[in-house]
Amino acid sequence: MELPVKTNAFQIKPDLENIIPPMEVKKIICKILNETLLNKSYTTENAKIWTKSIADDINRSLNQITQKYKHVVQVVITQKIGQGFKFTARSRWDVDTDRQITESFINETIICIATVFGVYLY
Amino acid sequence: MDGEENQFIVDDVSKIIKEAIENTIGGNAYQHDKVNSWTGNIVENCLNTLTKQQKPYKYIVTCLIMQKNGAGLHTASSCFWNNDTDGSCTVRWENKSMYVITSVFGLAI
Repeated sequence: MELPVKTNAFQIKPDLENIIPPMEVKKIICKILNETLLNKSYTTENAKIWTKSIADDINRSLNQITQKYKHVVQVVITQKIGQGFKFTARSRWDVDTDRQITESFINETIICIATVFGVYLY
Repeated sequence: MDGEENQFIVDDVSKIIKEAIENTIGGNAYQHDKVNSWTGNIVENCLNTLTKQQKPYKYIVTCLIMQKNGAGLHTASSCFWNNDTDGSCTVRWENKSMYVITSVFGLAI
């Protein structure tokens, strides 16, 4: 017996290859963090500009590699002078399609954490 | 999107976050071995309360605790989403020994 061919099937979830690729996103974040922060030292004015520019740059690059995804980019930059520091993220979403990717950058004076959340748009 | 009750209301969320922070940290000072469970607790409490509202939203909650010693801290977020339905809310809370910054992002399904 032949199975009926579904012609009008509606796809709810993305194909495997269309899921946001964590490794590529990681590479993008790494690249942008390095371009912006390598060999720099912390100043208040610069940190203000860097957080915004890093977040926007990552967001723009993500647009080129993802389709049908909403994404949220959060960037934290703090001065490294020995303070305690803890960053936690948790989400309620669809584990099949949605992803969280984090990268951090540390040098002598700066700690930077960049986190990308990709949420599939049904 | 139909009706007020199915939207991301920033004032409500801000209240939820403040409550979660105050219930968790209260009058405590910064303690290195507690920070892990504090951030976890705050995030968990926010998510639980938001989930109970049963709105058609996916939620992302982040929490950051930093000890006060004069260090600078900057945070920025950039979002690619539907401005009409999705929203974010960030609360800054501090006491004598630490800063707590909690953000909630709500993305409509």
